[in-house]
Amino acid sequence: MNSVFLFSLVTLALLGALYWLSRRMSTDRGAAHLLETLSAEDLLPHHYKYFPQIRQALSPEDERFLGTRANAATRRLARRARRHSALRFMEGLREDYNRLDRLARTLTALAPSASSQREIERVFLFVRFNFLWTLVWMSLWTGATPIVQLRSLADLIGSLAARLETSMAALQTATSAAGLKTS
Amino acid sequence: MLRCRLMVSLNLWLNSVVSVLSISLCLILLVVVFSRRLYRQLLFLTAYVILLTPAVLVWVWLSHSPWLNTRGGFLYYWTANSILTFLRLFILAEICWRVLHEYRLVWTLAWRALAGVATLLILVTVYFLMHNSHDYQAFILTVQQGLDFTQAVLLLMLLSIGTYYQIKISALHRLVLVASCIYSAVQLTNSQLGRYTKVPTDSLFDFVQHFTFILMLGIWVWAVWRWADLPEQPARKIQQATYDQLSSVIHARLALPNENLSKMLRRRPE
Repeated sequence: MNSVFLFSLVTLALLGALYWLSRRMSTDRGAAHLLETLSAEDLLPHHYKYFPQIRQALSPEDERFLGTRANAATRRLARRARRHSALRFMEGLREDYNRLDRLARTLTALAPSASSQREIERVFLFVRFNFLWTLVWMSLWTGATPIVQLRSLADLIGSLAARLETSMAALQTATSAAGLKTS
Repeated sequence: MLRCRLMVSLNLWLNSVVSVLSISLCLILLVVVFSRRLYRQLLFLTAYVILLTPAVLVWVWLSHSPWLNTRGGFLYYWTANSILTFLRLFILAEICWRVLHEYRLVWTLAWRALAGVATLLILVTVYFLMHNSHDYQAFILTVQQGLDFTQAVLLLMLLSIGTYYQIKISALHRLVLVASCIYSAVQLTNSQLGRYTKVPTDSLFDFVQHFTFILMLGIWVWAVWRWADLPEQPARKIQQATYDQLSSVIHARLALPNENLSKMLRRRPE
């Protein structure tokens, strides 16, 4: 009868997945609705506005300053706080990435003729990003990676924000002028 | 003695409830399917209901006749169940096509993924069938278990694809899928329980099967009655130029954080 117990676990897992997906489906309003109500604010990196503070917190000058002025206990406390900020920043980075990935999926679904190669690449990028993100997060959490290296990520997102803003303006013009056409 | 008599009366009562509910729901579903012209939206579900009604009527007649525990009754019980389970795969395939075919690329990717998974699971079922070919009951239970698992997995995959690409699945299609998935998931365990049941009729296995089937029919009746006459919403598209312009920018934007994370991991600590 052990096998019945094992199968009942599989059944519970299937029913749990069904419940979760049904809830998601009833709350999601569809791709077309997403594009209609989309604003540049929704898609621009939200965490970008905290970059100056993050950059300051992660700067080597800040580290050196602490080294000369603070005692060991304070330095430890400050390092812990910096690490905490770095991890929060990583969470934000993933949030921004997921939001953009969602837009890419929506465009693929609604395009009359989307590129299959690009779509497969997007899925590959998504898997790769999550894998790398987990590795970086773990190395930051364990202290294996100096948090100073996060500065390059902050710079990257900052430079891309302006580019994305231009693209969003193009999308909004396109959807409001031509409207979503019904196939 | 008293306990035995209680069991017998409980069995009789449950049998009557199952018979009344099964026949009434089948007939109501048949009427609702035609009054709401479901054949215009779901051809295979209509065909399934047409076949289901006589199958249930025969089964109810058989369960109150002396032929119930004969070889013929035994064969009918298992064969009818398996055929009905198999037919539900066609309902799933039709819903899948109706939901996704207007989204060209999603459909192209989805049907390959669904067909691949279905083929794999059917091959696994065939493998287990070869090990259970000595006994008819074990053979049929393996067929049912394999088909139910395949169906539940495919249904969840379809719902996942819909959620992933933000594709709206109509309430009718969604409820038909959900009811079918509940039945298949419960049957997966129930079929395993059936392997330990010598006489399937009037057993726990039998009642669980009938009541989950009644639940599925009940949800279908509600779904068809409530949603079948609503017109299907055509898919809404964006201009091709919008896609071409935006997707390349977004793609580049998605690639860069990857490269940067990768560099971060390779770089030596300063």
